[in-house]
Formats: sequence, structure tokens, C-alpha cells
Amino acid sequence: MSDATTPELDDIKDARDVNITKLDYARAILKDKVTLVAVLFLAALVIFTAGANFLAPHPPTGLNFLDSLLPPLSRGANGEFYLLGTDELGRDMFSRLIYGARVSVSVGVIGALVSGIVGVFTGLTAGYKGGLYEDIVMRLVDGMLSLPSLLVALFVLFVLGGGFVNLILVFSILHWMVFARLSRGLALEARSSTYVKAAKALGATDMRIIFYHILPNVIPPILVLLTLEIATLILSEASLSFLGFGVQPPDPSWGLMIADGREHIRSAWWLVAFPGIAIFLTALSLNLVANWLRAVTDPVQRWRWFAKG
Amino acid sequence: MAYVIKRICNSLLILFITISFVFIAGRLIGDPALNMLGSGASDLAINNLREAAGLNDPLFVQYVRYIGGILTGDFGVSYRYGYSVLPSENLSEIAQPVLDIVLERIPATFALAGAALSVAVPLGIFMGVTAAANPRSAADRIVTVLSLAGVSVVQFWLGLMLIVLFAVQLGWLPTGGYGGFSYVILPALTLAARPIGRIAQVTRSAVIQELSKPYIVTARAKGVPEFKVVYVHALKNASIPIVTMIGDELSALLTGAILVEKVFAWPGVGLLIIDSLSRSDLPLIQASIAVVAALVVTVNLLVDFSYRLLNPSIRLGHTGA
Amino acid sequence: MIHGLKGRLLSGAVMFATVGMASTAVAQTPEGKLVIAINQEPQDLGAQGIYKEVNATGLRNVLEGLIAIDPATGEMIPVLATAWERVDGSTLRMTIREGVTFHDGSPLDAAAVATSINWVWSPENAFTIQEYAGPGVITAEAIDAMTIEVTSSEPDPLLEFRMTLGGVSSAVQLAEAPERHFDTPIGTGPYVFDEWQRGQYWSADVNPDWWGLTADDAYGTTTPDFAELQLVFRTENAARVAMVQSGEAQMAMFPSSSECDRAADENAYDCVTGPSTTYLYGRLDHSLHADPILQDPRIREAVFLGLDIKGLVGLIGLASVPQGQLGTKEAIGFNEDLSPYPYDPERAMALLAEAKADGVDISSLNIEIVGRDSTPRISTIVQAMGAMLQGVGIGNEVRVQTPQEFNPRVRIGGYANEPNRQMMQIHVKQNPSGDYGLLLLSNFACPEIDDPTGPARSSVYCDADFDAALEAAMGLYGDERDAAMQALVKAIHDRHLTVPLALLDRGYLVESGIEFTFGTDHRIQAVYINKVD
Repeated sequence: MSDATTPELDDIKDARDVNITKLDYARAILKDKVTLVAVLFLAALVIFTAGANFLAPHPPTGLNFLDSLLPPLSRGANGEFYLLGTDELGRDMFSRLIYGARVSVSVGVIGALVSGIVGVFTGLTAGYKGGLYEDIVMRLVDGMLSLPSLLVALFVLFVLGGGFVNLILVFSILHWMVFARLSRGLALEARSSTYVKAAKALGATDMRIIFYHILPNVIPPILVLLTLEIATLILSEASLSFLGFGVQPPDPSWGLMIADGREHIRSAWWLVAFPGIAIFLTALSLNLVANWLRAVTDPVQRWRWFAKG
Repeated sequence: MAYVIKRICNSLLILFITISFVFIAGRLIGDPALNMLGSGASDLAINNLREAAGLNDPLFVQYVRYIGGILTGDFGVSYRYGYSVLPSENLSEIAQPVLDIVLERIPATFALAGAALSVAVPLGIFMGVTAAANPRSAADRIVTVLSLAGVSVVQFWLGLMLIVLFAVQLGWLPTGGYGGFSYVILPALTLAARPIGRIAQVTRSAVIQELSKPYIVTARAKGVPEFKVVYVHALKNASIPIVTMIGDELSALLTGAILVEKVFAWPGVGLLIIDSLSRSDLPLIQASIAVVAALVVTVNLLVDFSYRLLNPSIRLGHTGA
Repeated sequence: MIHGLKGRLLSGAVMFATVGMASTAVAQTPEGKLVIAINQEPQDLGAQGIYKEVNATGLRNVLEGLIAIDPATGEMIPVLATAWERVDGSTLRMTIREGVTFHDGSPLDAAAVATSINWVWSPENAFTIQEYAGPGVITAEAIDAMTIEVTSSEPDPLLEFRMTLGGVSSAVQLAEAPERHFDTPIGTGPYVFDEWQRGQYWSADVNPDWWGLTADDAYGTTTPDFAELQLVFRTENAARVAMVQSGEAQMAMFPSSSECDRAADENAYDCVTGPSTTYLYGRLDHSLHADPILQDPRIREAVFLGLDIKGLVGLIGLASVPQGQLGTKEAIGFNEDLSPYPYDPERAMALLAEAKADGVDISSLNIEIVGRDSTPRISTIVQAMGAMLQGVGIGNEVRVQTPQEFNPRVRIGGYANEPNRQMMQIHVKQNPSGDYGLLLLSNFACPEIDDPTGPARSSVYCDADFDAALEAAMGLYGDERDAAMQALVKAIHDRHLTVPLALLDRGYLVESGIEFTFGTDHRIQAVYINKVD
């Protein structure tokens, strides 16, 4: 038992010393079947989202009363094949899911990126500069983190109205703090490191040190957080859309598809089940990948993935 | 001590800002009287309400009056809940204070959050310890995927699926509503999915960390049974991060309950918030947000303090990473 | 997707049939609990609320009105008033029913009724019932022990109708504890209010001393079959349906059409449906602050012809195709000669081509089809309409907005700030008044920017001739009024101002062994919910 949890010190040293290449990451991922599946799922999601116009078998809009509410794996009046069935307007569920991914995934990704950029910038500068600026930033961060974010989001969207842009705005306002807190901690650590001291001695400006020297060194944990945040935001989007304060029709977001489909939950289960599963798999994959990223970039744990033999 | 006071002041400040923000933002969406009364309202009704609610005063006067009221525990009265439109002269006599309406709903929300936690804590800890005791085993992998699944599922979707399965198809449990034990099972399970996952993850990593420490090696060498090593020694020493996570999740539960209450028609604060939003009952919206925010901020503050109490080695003055 | 009328509608014939049957049957002792899952929690249970069933569903079981309208025939039926007569154009004399007591034991007499009417219609109280207040201020006065006179400050041809709207509640309560009026209704009805658990339900117990047990001129001979009544609030459609499926409720309001279809295969419950007076319609911007292209009659006609109304009705499920106007057959002003706007894509495209040949820039057509998110299934409806118009080559975008965004945009005060719109607003509206006057005034009279809360604030149409004709018609009575209104209804039909999309049916899931009888007003009255073998 204890052998597995407490690696030999040499192993760890080996792993730390080893020059890890991209190839090693690829090998490491191949070793972990679950993460591999998650990565493949996300890759497929990205491909389908980007190439929706070519890859979706049917248009996501339109009207075809003849093929309304067909169950999965059925054929339409004109012989079209519907993998995941159709909705009440006779639109192909699979194609709707692909187009829906565009909305849901981009809300998650853009929201996480915007809040990430804001949060990392404020966090790194606060951690590096310290003083009153840091104090004010961290007070704001602590305060905002202690607020019930879903509730505040609900209220702001009630005032502003839902929609793609407002949703991203709200997410950025309510999620930058997690990035700021993490980045500040990382900047604090880096401030006393030798490479920062060296850069300082060479006369680099603060901004140069923060963005040329510290930032590249703190990317891995931020990347992990970004992945987790994308998952969180995709889930939040679904919840807000369900309550009627998120994306507005006709944008076919996954959350909205569930909300619209619940009218038919018993007679046409596929309308609710598939978008729910899509959100679940996407969030799960992102979480798995984040978990893996955290492990392989953690100096204490990474030996497991790169140790030879 | 200075830290404690600083944190409390900070929290009060944040609450004040939130309440002010909600008040001002609420006025930006146009005439509150018109919003409240809807499109069918007559000129007279709208004017009466404006007059009664003091909406004709300058915004600043209204704001000062509102904040002043809150300091004395008066969040105002609901213009809609209980009354279609109020008679202007006896408004204060017969209107229901919004704070009462909100407080009336608090026990239901607490009951739901408590039920969810009482499922999530034992189950999450059990899963986490099991995984930690057998790292990289099949059990560990299953726990990892399950706990990530718990945080990846859309709550309201899970609720809908559980209703269809257990209430409608099997008929074992009620579809929703408020009542005895059977009513709380499905909403509590739905709400517990996420904390189960989070607690299992934290427990797993904390126990793994403890298990690698020298005292465990000594205990094992002395022949202490493995069960006792894991569940008594390691778990006990791993309790700080676990307790912190439980506190974190409690405040998440209080807001997460909004969706679950909606799906299961559970008459808590969450359902009240959704109803008051759909009726544009501004005073009720303001009060319920203020109350929930105060609760969550308080829980977070207590968690923060207990964390520091449990773990004196943390440097006070900065929040731990 | 056309549903048969599996339930029974309350019609004159059926009522007499029920009377005949009941006289031979022994009245059952009320027992058991009737749980009804309803779609929203009432805002209050005040007496004014009974004028619309949606305000306080089921409140008519506790509070009764003076007069009821038979939804099938439009005839007025005596309830708490046994007779009424006109004194003059603005005064109505009503005789109050003898031997009725309120649930608090106080007697129903002229003084109590007058107090109640004055409370409900008081401009000072400004209850929402004022939307039906008519031209004047309504007051009442007891002239002897059992007779009152109701007066409007202006001549009012619809005063009798207005007396069908409000409920009568205990005058003792209004005097002693007015604040209880809103959450503890005390009426004269077959059920006595018990409690209101906020966020959950309200309940009532059967009234053993109900006057209706011994009088059959108001309700027939039907009597309550259930000892307790509980109205459970469930806003989620699927949740209400699930309650009946799992046996938690005996009845659920408004299941989706697909749930209604499924009920046919179930033994435990049935779906009962019937037409209502509720319409779904689209209002297309006309000349006020609108893109001038919408004043081209060819464009307007093309838009209307491009909508497959039958298809939409099928999509909505529980609905029928309206006869080209927003009112029921019984209403004064209903024009029997009109027909629904046909679905004719070829003609629509031909009209567009014709307009284009005349130099109209068809490519600038981009109709914004907007619904309010509180309308059930609005997202599906607007998306289907968008696809239909796209099919005939009319550019459009669809949108669903919250009431905060939507409401200002449909009133003159708001849309005056939105120049050159091409908006098609989708509304759901009920017209229970039995008369086209108010409907024509609020939808088509010229709105005044100086009076942004006036009665015509939602209109997007302005035509002085129409307004003059409407004003003349509003002053008429009887057949003259009917003929004048009919002419106006035809005029707006020909100008393609609003497109009636569906006359909504309403459905209920009802446990097997229970029969629910209702009319187009869809009142949930427990005396019409009966156990059958």
C-alpha cells in the first residue's frame, strides 16, 4: 500500500529532472484511458462546433411538421435519418445539439477567458506590487467571493435582460475573483524566486517582469482553473436559461433546449435527456482533463505520469 | 482579533454595497409601479401605487429612506404579495412587511440544505477515504469519476429525471411539495450531488497526504489495524480541509437551492425569489436577496474563522490559497 | 392533433340534463379530499379577484358573485342576486337572495352587498378589476333590507355585465379586520376557506349550510361531492401532470397536448378539454413609428398569408383556428361572415413580387417576431412563425423577451422611442366581456403620446374615421351596437392589422371516476366536479 502513495525520493527527483517534452505528455495521456476518452470527446466537440455548417446533418432551424417529435434512430417522411430524433418543429436533435454547443460552449469559453484575463491581470499585479493596491484588490475579491453568485447573476440578468452578451458580462463580473486570488498567490511566491530577482537586477520594468517572467511560469495552475471555470460556466448558463434569464431563443443553447423540452418530458424524453447528457459529458470531460492537468503539472505528483518504466 | 474585526467590517461593507446595488439597479428598469402592476393596470392604480410607495420622491430620498429602514429591520412592504393593489391611505396598516415573508420561508430552505448535507457529508467522506486507502485501484478510479460526475451534472436536469423515474414511473416518492420525510428525499438527493463530489475529492487528497506522514508509518509498524489507521488517525488529522469544504458547500447549497426548489415546488426562499422576480415585486426581491446574501456571507465568515481556529499555522491577514 | 371533447361542456342542454338526472339520484354526502394542481399561486384572495379565474383559481368556491354568465349561452344567471332591473341608463336595481349567510355567520343583506360592491369598485382601492370599470365610477346603496341600487356615474350599457365580475365578501370582516380580507376570504360559497400556506397551497372545507343545497336556480341541483378542497400551486407543467399520474392530485390544470394525448392510453386518468375565450394573436406594426414599408397593403397581406395558422394550431395542440377575429361567437360584434386568413404561400410571394415590381424594397423587410417569455411555449411558436415567413421569402428575426423588455415596447409611451420598427408582437389575451367594444378600443383606437397610460396605449394603429365610428358604436345598445361593431370588425380584418393565430383550448387531467364540467370561462368550481360510477 504505502509503496504506491510514497514514491521513492529518487523517482521524484528523476521526474523533476527529466526534460518533459510534448511527446511525454502525449504518452502520459495515452496511459490514462479515462482522460483519453475525455480529451477525445472535447476534441470532437470542438470539431463539431467549429464545423457545424458542414458536419450537422440537417439545418438547425426551419419547420417540418411531417417529422415532428420522432424518436431517436427514426426515418422522416422523406427518408431522412434522425440519429437522436426530432423536436416538435421537426428539427433534427443531433444538429440542434451541435449548434447548441456553439452557444453553450462559447458562453463558457468566452466567459472564462474574459474573467481569466481580468482576474490574472489584477491578481498578478496585486501579488507582485503589494501594498495598498493589493489590500484593496484582495478585499474586493474576498467580499465578492462571499456573495451568492447565482443569485446576483439572476438579479442582474433580471435587470439587464438575458442574452448571450449580457450573460458573458455577468459571468465576467462574478468570476474574475477566483482567478485573481489564485494569481496573487502565485505572484507572491514568484516574487521571491531567483529568476525574478535576476530580472530585477537586470533592470526590467515591473510590467515586463510580471508578464514576461512570472506569467509563463504560472500558466499551468491557471490553465487548470480555466478548464474548471469553463465547466462551471456551462452549468451556470444552463441553470440561468432554465429559469428564463439566460440565453434567449432562438439561440439554441443546451440549457434552453432542456427548458423548452420539459413540456414533453414523458412523451418525448429525448428532448430533455440528450441536451442534459451533452452538458454532463462536456462538464465531466473538462473536469477530468483539469484533474489530469493538475496531476501532471504538480511537481509532487507528476512522477507518476513521467517516471520511466 | 484585529483580523476578525477587519473581516466582519469587510463583510458588512460588501452587504451594504450589494443592498445599495440591488436598490439602484432595481430602479433602472423603468417605473417600478408599471412593472409591478403589469400591462392591464389603469392610470389610477399606477398613480396610487406610486403615491403609496413613495415612488414620486427623488431617487436619493427613496434610497436614504430605504437604507434607514433596513437599519431598523424594516425592509418595506410588498406591493403585490397579498394584495393586488393597495389602498393608498391604509398602506402601512394592512400591507405585509417583506422581511416577514422572507423569514417565513427560511426554515424550509434550511431543512432542505440540512438534509442534503446530512447525505453528502457521510457519503462524500466514505467515498473519499475509500479511494485514498486504495490509491490507483479500481475503487479510486470509480470514486474519482463519480465525484467529478457529481459536480458536472446539471442540478435541475437531475431533478427532472429523478421525478420522472421515482415519482412518476415507479410511484415511490412524491413529485414535489412540502411535507413529511418522503417529500425531502428527491430534492435533497438532487441538491447533494455536487457536495458529495466536492467532499469526496477533498477527503481523498487530504487523507492521501496524511497517509504519507511518518506517524502513520509508525502506527502501521506497531500493528494498529489498517481500518483504524485510515479512519481514525488519518481522517482525524485530515479534518481541517474537509470541514472547510463542508462550510463552503453549505453556502453554495443555500443558493443552489433556488433551482431545486423550483423543480420540486419546495416552498423555500429560492422559490420565493423566483416568484418575486416573475412578479417584479421589487421590495420582495430586494429583501430576499439581502437576506440570502447576509446568510451566505455569514456562513462564509464562520467557515473562514473556524478554519483559522482549527489551523493556527495559517498566517492571519491573508486568505489561504 | 385535434382533440375530441372528451369532457362535458357546461351548456344549457347539459345543465338541464344534469338537473333531470340529479333529481332521481340521492345527493351524496360529501367526503374525501379533492386536490387540484393549479398553475400559479394567487397574489391575494380578495373579493375582486374572482373576475378572472387566473387571478385566484378556485376562489369562486368560497366567494360568490351577484350574477353569473352561462358561458354556453351568454345568458345571465342569478346567484346572490335573484332579480335585477334597469332604473335608467346608469342605475340598476338588484334584489338580494333571502336566507344566505356568510361563513362568519353574518347575514347577506342589502347593506352587506352594498359595502362589498363599494369596496371592490372603489377608485381609491384601484383594484385591477378597474380594467372593467367602464366609463364611470360604480357605487352601490341599500334602498331597503334586501334591495340595492348600483349606479355608475356615467350612462353604462354594460352595468349588468360588470355585476358578474366581483365577489361578495363579509362586510363584518371589511369593517373589523380589513387586512384579513386579502388572505382569509369570507364568502357565501359551497366551501369555507381554511388556510393558505404560502408557496404551497390553499384549502377549504365543504359548507354544510350552503344555500345552494336547497336552491337550484343558480347551480342546478348539483352539490359538493368532496369534504375538502385543496389547490396546490405548481408552476411547472410537468410537475402538475406528474401529481395526477402519481395519484397525489385528482385534477391538474393545463397539461400539454402531448400529455393529453397520452391520457387516452391510461386507465387512471383522462384528459378533458374545451375551448376558452383566450386568443393567441399577432399584432403587426402599422403606421405609428413603424417602417413605412408596412403601410403597403400588399406587404401586410403577404405576411398574413405566409402564416400557416392551421399548422400553428396543430403545433400548439389544444387549440382551434379562430374565425379571423378576436372574440367568441356569442360576443356582441362577432362577424359571422369573416373567415380565417388562409395559408397561401403562392399568393403571398406573388404579392411580394408585385410590390417589388412597383419599386418596394423587399430586401429591407426584416420582421421582428417577438413574444413575452411568460407566454407558454412562446419560443416554439415564434420560431415556427419565423420559419413560415422565411418560407415565402419574408426576412425576419424571432425573439422572446422578459416582461421588463417586452411591456414597454408594446405601449405608445415606449415604442414612440423606437422609430421605424417592423415588429410583430405575439400576445395572449382573454376577452370575457361578451362585447367587442373594449377590445376594439384598446387594440385599434389611436393612441395618444400625451396619454401614455390611456385605454388605447397598446394600439399601433391610427385612423380618425375608425375612431369616430367606434365612438359612435360604443354609445349604441342591442342590435344596433352589434351591427356597428360587426362593421368595425370587418374593417380591421380587411386592413390586416392583427392576425388571430389560435383560439386556445384548455385541458385538465382528471382522475378516472371523477367528472368535471366547465364552460368557456374555465372556472374550477368544485360543485361541478363530481364522482361518477
